[in-house]
Amino acid sequence: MVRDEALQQAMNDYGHYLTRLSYVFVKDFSRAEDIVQNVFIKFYTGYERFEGRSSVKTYLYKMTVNECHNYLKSWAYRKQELTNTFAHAIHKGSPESHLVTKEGNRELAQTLRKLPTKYREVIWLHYYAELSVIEVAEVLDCSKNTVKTRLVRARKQLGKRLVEEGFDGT
Amino acid sequence: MEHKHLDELIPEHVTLTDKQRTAIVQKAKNGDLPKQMRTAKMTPIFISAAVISILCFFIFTFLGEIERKETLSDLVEAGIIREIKAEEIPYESKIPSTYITETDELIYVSGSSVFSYEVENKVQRALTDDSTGATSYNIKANANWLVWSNFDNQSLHIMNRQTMAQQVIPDFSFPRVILNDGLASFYNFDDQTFTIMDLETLQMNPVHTVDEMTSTQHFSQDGQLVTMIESYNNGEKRLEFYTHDIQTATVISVATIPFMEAGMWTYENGFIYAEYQAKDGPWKLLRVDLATNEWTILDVPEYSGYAVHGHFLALSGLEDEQSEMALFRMEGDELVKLTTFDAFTDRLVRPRFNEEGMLLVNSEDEAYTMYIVDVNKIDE
Repeated sequence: MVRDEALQQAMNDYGHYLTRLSYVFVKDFSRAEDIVQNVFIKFYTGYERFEGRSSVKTYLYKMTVNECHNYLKSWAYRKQELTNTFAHAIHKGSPESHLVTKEGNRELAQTLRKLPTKYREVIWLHYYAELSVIEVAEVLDCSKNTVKTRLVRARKQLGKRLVEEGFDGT
Repeated sequence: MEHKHLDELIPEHVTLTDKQRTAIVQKAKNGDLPKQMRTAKMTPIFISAAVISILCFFIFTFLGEIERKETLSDLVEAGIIREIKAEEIPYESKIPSTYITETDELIYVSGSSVFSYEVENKVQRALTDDSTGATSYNIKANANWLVWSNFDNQSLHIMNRQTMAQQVIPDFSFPRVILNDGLASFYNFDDQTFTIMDLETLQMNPVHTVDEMTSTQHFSQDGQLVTMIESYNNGEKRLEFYTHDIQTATVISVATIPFMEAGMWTYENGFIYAEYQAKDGPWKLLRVDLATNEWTILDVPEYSGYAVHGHFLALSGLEDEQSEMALFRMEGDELVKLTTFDAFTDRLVRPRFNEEGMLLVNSEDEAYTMYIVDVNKIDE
């Protein structure tokens, strides 16, 4: 069946990256697995309706980001984020605080951690998922200009130090 | 900024596993609805309450810290709680680690190596080299055996911890291997059979063959294997639980309940537990008594994770708790909250019990301290 093949192809092409992207957002492997499972099941069950509406890549990333946003709206998670805002001295995790911080990457992880969510997500979608500005705009339901502005501001906030570390900010 | 720099920040094991692919295909073809994620909305009044709580938290941090230490020390003195700092273990390794009572050690994965950390002596040592393909999510260990799947080359590795001798079963691609003393159980997708393997002799013993491809779970405890399958009967979907005697490979009992959309299944002492959500409702705990075939939805507060042992239930992600974790005693269908975690101010996450009733939890304090709670001593 076409949709069976489409599901296998989608899992082959994007399964790995969607799982890793979800992990970045929700910092919990099990939750990331749940999210990606939901995305692929919805992709499969809604395949007839999906066809031709947008690229598979954009559609899957949009679904994944939406599922992650839903999870991040939960009270428990938001309380944790609030605590971070008021208590940066308390090292309670934003997503990046639970990423691997090998010696060479510690700087990047720490700097990413300080970025507001709206800037972090454009960084991950544009540089990690390698979505174009137009695709990021589609995924986040905002305009191209908004994405561009957020990217510029995010890069600015990431700062000089990362440039010196070899992350060229481009 | 480059893709590879960001990629290196994410643990290597985070990927779409074969097990997950299989589950997705099964559920998609069965027409299962996606699991609902928790989406409780935060209202402005909650935001205000949280801000006030946090400000209060700062004001009373010092006093609270003194009180916490005193109360914690009481619990430590009573032998109910042990504190494990183990700052040399990375946080991402601490989170999925397991505790073995017999050897008083934590087992965890760092990189691709499996490590042991002796809690009392504070000694860590590698049990495997880094070429094993082990990840935090595919190892099982007890005092005598260490078992892990290598998804890269589709093999099962078995280490006898007394002799350190390793054996490798090739062409093994079955997820969710369960370890119970010297036996491993798994579901063989190829012939749709729940199978027990003797780790000493590697002899395979088929216990339960399923007629058609369906969603399955299995659990093993005290010489028994419990298998769960989703089945159809006269168009009705239902869940069937088979309790088998491992030695004789015979069925001891069968329990059947109507199908429910549930996940995070656990078996404990004759009862099955699972996270259950009625349509658009909050998450509750489903409990099935395999002896009486009765099922109950336990009225738990909104939570994010659970662990169960005997009549003790630990819940994390609780809004009303300072540490977001609480321990409950189940008295019939009622939950009685215990004060065990009231002394904690830092957030506690990931509750999990071992077979002996040792509850392991992770704190999100500066040192990412871990705590072992011996619930057996609470009843004394």
